[in-house]
Amino acid sequence: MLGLAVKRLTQAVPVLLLVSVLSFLLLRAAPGNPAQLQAGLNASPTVVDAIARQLGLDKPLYVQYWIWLKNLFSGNLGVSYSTGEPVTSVLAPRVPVTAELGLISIVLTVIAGIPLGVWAALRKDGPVDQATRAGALAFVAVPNFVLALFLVLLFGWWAQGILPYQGYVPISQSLGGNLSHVMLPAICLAAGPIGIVSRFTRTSMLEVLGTEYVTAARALGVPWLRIVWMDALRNALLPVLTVLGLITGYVISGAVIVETIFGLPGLGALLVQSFSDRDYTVTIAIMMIGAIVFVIVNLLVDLLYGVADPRVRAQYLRRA
Amino acid sequence: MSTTTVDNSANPGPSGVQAAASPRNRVLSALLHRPLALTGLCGVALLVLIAAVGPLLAPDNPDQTSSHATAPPSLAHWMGTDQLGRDVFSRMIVGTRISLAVGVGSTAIALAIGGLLGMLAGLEAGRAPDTVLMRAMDVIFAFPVLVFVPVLSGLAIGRQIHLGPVPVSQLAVLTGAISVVFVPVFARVARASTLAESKMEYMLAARAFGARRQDLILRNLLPNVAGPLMVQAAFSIPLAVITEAAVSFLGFGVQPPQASWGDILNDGRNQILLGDWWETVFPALAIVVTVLFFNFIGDALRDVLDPRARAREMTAAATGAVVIGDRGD
Repeated sequence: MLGLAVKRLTQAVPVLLLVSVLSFLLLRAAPGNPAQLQAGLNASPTVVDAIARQLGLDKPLYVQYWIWLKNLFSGNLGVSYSTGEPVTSVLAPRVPVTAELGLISIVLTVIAGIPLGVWAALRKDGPVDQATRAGALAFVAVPNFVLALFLVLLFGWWAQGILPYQGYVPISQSLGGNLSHVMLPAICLAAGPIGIVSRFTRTSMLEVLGTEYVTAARALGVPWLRIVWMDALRNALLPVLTVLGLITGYVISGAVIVETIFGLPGLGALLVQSFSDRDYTVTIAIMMIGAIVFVIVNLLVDLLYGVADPRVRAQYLRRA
Repeated sequence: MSTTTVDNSANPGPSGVQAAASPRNRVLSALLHRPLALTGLCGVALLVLIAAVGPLLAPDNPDQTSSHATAPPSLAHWMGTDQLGRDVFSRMIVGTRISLAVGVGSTAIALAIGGLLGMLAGLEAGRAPDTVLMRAMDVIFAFPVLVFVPVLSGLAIGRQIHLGPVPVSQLAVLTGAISVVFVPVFARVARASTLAESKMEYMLAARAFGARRQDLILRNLLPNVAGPLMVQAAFSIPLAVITEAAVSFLGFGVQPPQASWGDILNDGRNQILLGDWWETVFPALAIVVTVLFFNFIGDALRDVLDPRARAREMTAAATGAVVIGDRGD
């Protein structure tokens, strides 16, 4: 288990470093002079130069990157070009919004997607399977922003006053208000993943149900429901776990657009706003957070795989 | 040197499983004999036609503003007009070309690059080139799509990008940015298929005869890896169309005066808060229907070209046993 953890970590660290180099280079290549933006459009060249020196923009690119990386490790993400505040304090109030949205979406995905998939697998090619297949396909086919726009239209115009479709209320103010404001965006983010997870669970379940040990268990008279929900599902869930890890990326992506549509003050909406404002220090920080969360979640999924499946562990034992 | 090692149909089961001769025939029959796949095929053909003749079909000039702003659908304007009085139907028709071109174009680029990289990595499995390539894929993969593409595409807005001496339009940058996101997917599919094929005897034989690497890839590997790659492409095109629409919706994609379906959605974004649904509902429907058409085709292709799924069906049919049938309880 330790071997697996070490191996996965040594893979993740270079990936994260390359992620940081890439996003740093991308944003330095962006149009517009950050010093000019911070100084204001009417500032004199001497003022702009002074600010450029202060931001370290006059140094070679690799030095800028090195300074930036060193600061990163001491928790200093730089200063927002548009407000002059530290980036960390710009991000801080927005992190819980996106975290809450993401967590609720993932929970919805798990509690709806997996049972639906098992259900479809048990009645393969029957009317139930066909219906869930069509439903899953529809969920995959309707992109989250289309669903979001439709829900805004539905609750903002045709069915006004049932659920809020704009804005956000912090948990500290009102739990009910908070949950009701997050509900529509979370449904938008979960709809697609529910379709994907249910189909993967179905496929995986069918594979497991076709194995000899299931036939053997049935022959031995183990109750069918016990085989399905205890023995088969446990094995079938492993590939689904991987899918769930990948879905994190979809949820982070989706947060960008869904937060923008529903007016949630999260990191996704800030990414769009900061990039439009050419507030690159903020944009790069959000890019990094997105990639880091994705890599770490998938690292955890790999480790969980090792915990759940002795065969994966054995592989690493043999090699070591 | 056989290229159809995975083909079990030469030896059909006793229950008279359809013995289609070549993979091409199997694909064709799968597409033509399933109602959903046929629907998808006809739908995509129609979309391609609209994209090809586009402007000829549009009743109005898609960029012509008028005083009939935000008018609901009528006989004169089938899909209503937007806040500048432009005919939404005409804009939809013209936008089809851009949406499809970016979707298909970016998938094609990703298929070519990712497929080749994946096969190379698969042949070098476990050695340094494989590790480096797949870690590089991980880096791209780590960026959430809607964080990566808007930034890359947004960088090209309002300035001329050069790739060496060649000037590149912002639309090309957008297409390239989307293709970058899809390269890792194709690379993984190609690598996994290559690993599976490498264990086959024909590959062993080819290697034993000292086949050069380009022959190994193009003549031995490609015909057998092409199936899974095509299935992946059928599912990637709609995702690329969605990505383009999302990025354009955020304002970092296709720039005016050009307009894709995503731009029309973006234009209608503030209108829906006033209940003007037509500028949102029609492009949204177009996207959903397009995605469905391609998915129908992809589903049929997967059933035919995914050897594992087919092998399972064959066994079930051959033994005449209902392996996983309807179990009452």
